[in-house]
Amino acid sequence: MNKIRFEVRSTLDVMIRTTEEYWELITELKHPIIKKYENEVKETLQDPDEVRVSKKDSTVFLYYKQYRRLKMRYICVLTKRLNSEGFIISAYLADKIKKGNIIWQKKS
Amino acid sequence: MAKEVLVIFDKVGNTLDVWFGEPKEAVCEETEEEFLIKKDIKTGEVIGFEKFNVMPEGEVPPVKVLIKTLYSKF
Repeated sequence: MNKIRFEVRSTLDVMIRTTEEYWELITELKHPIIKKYENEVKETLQDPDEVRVSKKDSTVFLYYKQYRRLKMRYICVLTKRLNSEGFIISAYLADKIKKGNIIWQKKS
Repeated sequence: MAKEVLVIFDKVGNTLDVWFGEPKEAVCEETEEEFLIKKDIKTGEVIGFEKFNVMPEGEVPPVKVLIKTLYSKF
């Protein structure tokens, strides 16, 4: 059985997890830069600036958080929701955000 | 020297990643179409892309990958 790498409760009150095996897929093959931003990925899920939902798949949510220390770039974490749980399907560093429809925004 | 193209289809996440060369640190540019352009974080060169929601919702692949290398003369 796959070992859980981490599990956090998102701002949408969904428990989101990733396994060791899947985290390795993300950080070795999809987005190697994310290897050093594991804490930022967790923080983005827990305390995002905004959350969007995919236009093509209503179970895919995109969490965004902008970081001054990353030259005002965004950490984006893609999650898929299954029933009351979610799992990370990708995570990356982005300079601009365009995807999806906004469903949640942090109050300023 | 030949340049490798790496293609990764993630059936669970329903994503397709393509790298022109080895995977490396990139900053991404989002497009409207569930598509990311991966750019070298140092040079800005396009080094790959990622497509989300590759297969229609609820559809289970098999996926056939057809790769062709074309050598045409002008």
